[in-house]
Amino acid sequence: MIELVNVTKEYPGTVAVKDLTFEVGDGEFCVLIGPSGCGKSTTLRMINRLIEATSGTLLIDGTDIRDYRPEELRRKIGYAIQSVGLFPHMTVAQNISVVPGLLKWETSRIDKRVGELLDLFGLDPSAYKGKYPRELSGGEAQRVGVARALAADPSILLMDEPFGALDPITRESLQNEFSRIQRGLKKTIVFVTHDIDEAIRLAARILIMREGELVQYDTPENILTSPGDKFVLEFIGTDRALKRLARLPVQGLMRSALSVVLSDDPGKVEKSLAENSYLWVTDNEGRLKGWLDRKVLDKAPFNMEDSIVRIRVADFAVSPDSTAKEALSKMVLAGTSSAPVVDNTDLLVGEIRLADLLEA
Amino acid sequence: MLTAQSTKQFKFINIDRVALIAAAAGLLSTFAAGFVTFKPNRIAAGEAFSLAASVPLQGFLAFLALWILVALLSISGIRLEKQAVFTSICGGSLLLLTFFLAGQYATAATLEHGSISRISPGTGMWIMVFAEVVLLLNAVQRGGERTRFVTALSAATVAGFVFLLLTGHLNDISIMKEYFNRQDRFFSEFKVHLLLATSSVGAATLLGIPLGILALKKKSLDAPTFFTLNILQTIPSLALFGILIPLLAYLSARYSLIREIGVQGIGWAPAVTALTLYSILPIARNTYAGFATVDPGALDAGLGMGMTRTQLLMKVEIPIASPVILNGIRIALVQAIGLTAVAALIGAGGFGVFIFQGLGQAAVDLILLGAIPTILLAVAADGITNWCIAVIQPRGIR
Repeated sequence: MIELVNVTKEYPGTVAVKDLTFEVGDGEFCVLIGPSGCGKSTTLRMINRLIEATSGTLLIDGTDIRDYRPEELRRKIGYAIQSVGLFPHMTVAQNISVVPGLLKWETSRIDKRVGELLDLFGLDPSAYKGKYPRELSGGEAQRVGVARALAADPSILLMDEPFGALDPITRESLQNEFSRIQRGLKKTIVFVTHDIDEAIRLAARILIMREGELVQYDTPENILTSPGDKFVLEFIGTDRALKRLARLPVQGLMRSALSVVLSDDPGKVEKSLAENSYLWVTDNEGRLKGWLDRKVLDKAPFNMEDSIVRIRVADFAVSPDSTAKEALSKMVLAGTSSAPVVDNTDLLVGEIRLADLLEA
Repeated sequence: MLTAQSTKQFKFINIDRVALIAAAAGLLSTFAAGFVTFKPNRIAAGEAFSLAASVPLQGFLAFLALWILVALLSISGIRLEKQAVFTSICGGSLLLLTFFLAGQYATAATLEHGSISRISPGTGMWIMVFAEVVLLLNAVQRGGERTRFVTALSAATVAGFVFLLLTGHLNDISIMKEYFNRQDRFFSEFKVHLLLATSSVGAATLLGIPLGILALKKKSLDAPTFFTLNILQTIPSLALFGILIPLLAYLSARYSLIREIGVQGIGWAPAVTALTLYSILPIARNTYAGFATVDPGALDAGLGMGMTRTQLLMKVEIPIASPVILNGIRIALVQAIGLTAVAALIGAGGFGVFIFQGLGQAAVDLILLGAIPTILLAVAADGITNWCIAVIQPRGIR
C-alpha cells in the first residue's frame, strides 16, 4: 500500500504539489491524470524519491520512505517511463537484468527471469534476448521497458506515460496487453497519463489533479457518472457516456441469441422467423454466416437461400472481451439495433442489443 | 521515357575509380624523367634518371605490365571485392619491386662512383610509391568479405619492405646513408619524439576529460571553456612556443622548485606545455559530445531503477561515451606527433631535429630522414587508436 499524507513539493517561486493526501491499495491500479504542469509526474517521482518532498509523509506498507536509502527503495519499486530509457549498449536480456543484477541475484535465476518476462510480453526469448535496443520497434522497446521494470518482481510499479510516445494502434494493443498482464500480476500501480481514454481503459481508480492539488479520486465509473466539478466535467469531455461504455465489457451485457442453422428445414425457419423480427444464421458447427430479416416473409414465397443476408463477421460481430462502446459503434455502422457476439473461431455465443446498452 | 525494360538493361559497371587514377599515376611515373636522382656528393646538384634508364629492361616491362593490368582490372566490371584481391596483389608486388630495383640501382651506382655519391628517390619514384600505397589502402577499404586476405597481403608487403630494409638492400639509397651517419641519434630522437607527444596527450587527457564533463554538467562553464580552448587552438604553434619561452624562463628563475625539476625557457617544458594546451580541445570537445549522446531517458531510468551515480557513470555513461572520447584522443595524438616536429626549434628534440638540420644544410635527404618517420609515426598512432576504438565500441551502438 502507498500512502501520501499532506505531501507538498515547493520549488523557488512555485508550488508543484500542494498538500496532497491519498492512498493506493495493494494490487490497485491508480492513474494520476491532469493537464501538463499539474504535478502528476512530480507526485510519481516523489514516491521513489527521484524528487524529495518538501514536506509531508510518504509511506509504503506503513514504512516512511525516508527510512530507506534512495537506491534501496528504488530497487524495490518498478519504474517505466515514456522515453523507455533502455541502455543502448546492452542487449534486451542485459537491460532486463539490471535490477536483479543490482540485487545480486544468481546468474541462473536472472536468466530464468528474463525468459519468463519476455514470454509474458509475447516476445520470443530466443529471438529477442540478444537483440540491441536499436533493433526494436517502438512497441517492442516499451514492452522490454516494462519487462525491465518488473524484473525483480517488485510489488509496486511506477509508470510515467509509458505508452505516450507510441502510435495509436500500438498504444492500444499495449494497453490491452498490459491490462491482461496486470490481472495476473496484481501489482500496486501508480500510472501517470494525460490521456483520459487511457486512464478509463486501465484504471481501477483515477486521481485527477489540477495545479498541484487533488480534484477528484474515484473509480472511472463514478467519475464518469458524477464528475466532481466543472473542471472534471470539462476534462473528461462531452462524450463521457461513450467513455463509460468503453469501461463495460460485452460479456456482462450480452444475452443468448436466437439462431437457425443453414441446413434447417425451411418450413421450420419460416415459422420461427414469423415470431421474431430477425434470426442469426449459422453453419452446422455454429459459426455465424448471416442473418434473416422478417420483412422477407412479406415477399412470398419464402426461399431461405435467397433471403439470407450474408455478412463479414469481422464487420458486424463483437467478441465477449470487446467493450460496449465497440458494440455500439458496430451497430451504428451497420444500422442495426443488435450485434452478434462471437468467440475467436466465429462461433455465435450470443448477441448484444442497443436497448441493453441504453440501460447499462 | 525510361521504361521498365530499359532500366533492366542498364547495368551498373563496377569501375574502381581510385585504382584507375592510381594506375594512371603509376603509368605516368613509369615514363617520367626523374625516377631516381644521382648526385656526385651530398649537396651537389642532382641528375635525374628515368625508370627505363635506371633499371633493367625486364624490370621496366614488369612495371608497365603490372600498371596496365591494374588499369584493366579497375574497368573490368568484376565485383569490387574480387578486384580488391587482384589490385592488392599487383600493388604489393609493385611496391616491393620499386624498392628492390631502386636499391639495386643505388648499390650499382655507388660501386661505380664511390661512396660519397648520393642516389635519392626522384619525383617519379615518389609518385610511384604514393600510387602503390593508395592502391593497397583502397583495396583494404573495398575488400568487403575479402578484407582479411587483402589486409594480410598489405601486411606481407610491409614485411617485405622491412626485410629489404633490414637485409641492407636499401643501404645505398641516400636517406639510409643519412640514417647510418646518425644511427644513435635517430633512435634517441625517436624516443624523445614519442615521449613528448604521448606525455602531452596523456596530460591533456587528464585535464580534458574532467573539463568536458564539467562543461556538460555546468551549463554556465560550457561557453567560456570552449571559447578559451578554441582561441588556444588558433594560436600558431611557433607563436605559442615563443610566448612560453619567456614565461617559463621567468618562472624557472623565480622559483627554485620549478628550476629543480628541469623547467627552462627552452627544451621539453615549453614543448610539453604547448602540446598539452593544443591537445585539450579535441579531448574535451569529444568528452562533451560523448557524454551528451547518452539519452537523458536512460539516465532517468537508471536512477529510477536504483543505480547509484557511480554505477550509472561506470555502467552506462562511460561505455557509451568512451569510443567518442578515444576518438578525441586519437585526433589529439596525431596532431601532437605532427606538432612535436616543430618543437625541435625550441630545443625539445624529436624528429624535427633532422628536418631543421637538413633545412640548414640544404640536404633534402636529411629533411626526409626527419619527415618520413614523423609521418609513419602519425599513421601508426592513428591506426592503433582506431583499432582500440573498434575494440571498445559497444555492439549496440554503431
